[in-house]
Amino acid sequence: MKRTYAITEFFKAARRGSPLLYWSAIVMLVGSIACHAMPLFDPRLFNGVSVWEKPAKFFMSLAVLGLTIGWAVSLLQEKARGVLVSTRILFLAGWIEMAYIVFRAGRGEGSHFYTATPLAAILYSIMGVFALSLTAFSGFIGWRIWQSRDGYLMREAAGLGLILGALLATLTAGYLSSMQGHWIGGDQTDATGLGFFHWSTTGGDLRVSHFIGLHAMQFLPLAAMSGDKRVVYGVGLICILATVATFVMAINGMPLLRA
Amino acid sequence: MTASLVFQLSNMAALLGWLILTASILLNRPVWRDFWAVQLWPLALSALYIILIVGFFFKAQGGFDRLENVQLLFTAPWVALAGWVHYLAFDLFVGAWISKRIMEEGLPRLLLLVLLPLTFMFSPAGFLAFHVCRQVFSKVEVSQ
Repeated sequence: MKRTYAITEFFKAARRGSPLLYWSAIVMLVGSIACHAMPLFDPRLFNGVSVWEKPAKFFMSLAVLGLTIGWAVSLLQEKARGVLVSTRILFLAGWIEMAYIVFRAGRGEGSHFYTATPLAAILYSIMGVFALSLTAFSGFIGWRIWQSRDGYLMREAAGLGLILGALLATLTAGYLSSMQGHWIGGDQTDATGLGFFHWSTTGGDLRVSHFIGLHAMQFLPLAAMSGDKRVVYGVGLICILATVATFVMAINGMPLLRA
Repeated sequence: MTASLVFQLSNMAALLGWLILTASILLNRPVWRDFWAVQLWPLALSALYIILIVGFFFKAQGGFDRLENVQLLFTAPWVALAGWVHYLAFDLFVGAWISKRIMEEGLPRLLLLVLLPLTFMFSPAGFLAFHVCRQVFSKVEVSQ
């Protein structure tokens, strides 16, 4: 047996599981780094931070999703056609979302909640369809992995994580989409938000619960590294409770951390 | 959540970690010590620390280059809290590490009665005292 790093194995597995999503994720990581560097050349601001902050975040987020899905698919003994098609849909939906976010950011405009023109309103609702396919097909892949768990803890955690993450992300995103924005009270700017995350420190921010909920996809497999089933389910429960708690805080106009 | 509330919560969490460490020594459960006090609790506090640093450090005034700047840094409640959580995490870790060394090297367990409170209150003093004790109480060969 050759000794190797878990992270190396993770990347290899992600590439084995879905070469498409793996290479797409690598490009997105590069995209995220590039967007983080953009403020050096482009001083324009949106909501108090660089216009490139949002594409940087979404590139990062979708790269992590792509790698997670690729890795999770590699746990399957045999890849069913439904799973393969799902990865292609995820690839497509991810890049359509990204293309629109980058396009609007380049113009210094919003993408989510941006309905200033009839065309923008239509495009925003189309974004919703693709966003929903991101969670729905992630959840579907999770379901197939859950079905094939066969007493293997990592498969159980990966499957459950994808289902739970998809569910919590969809519920929080569904509520977000019924709003005019992700802030409830407070300064309504990212300038006074937390560093990096930019979550509001002055009022409610629905992005917190969305973030915690969707990352159940990663938290559960990480918990499974302990080799203990109770830890996996404990962490799952914590994800649900933390999502609900931060959601309730947000709709009551309370920041996660008050400045 | 306000900085004061998170301060209270992290203090309680750290205290609980110390209680687990104490229980593990009294009940002779090294696994509790190694899992909870050496790893999980300091790691959880470190995670909180990272969140606070990422969230507030880079926006705060001040820096590490001059004492006045360090003082300025600690006038921001969340940054001061991050500093405090740093203490909590590392003090518990050092306390647990000292307990582990005392047990595994077969040094008198009663030493912990002094070393742990000292580490809890003033951890560098406890750390230094452990190293002194380790030399003082080391087993030596003596010829008749």
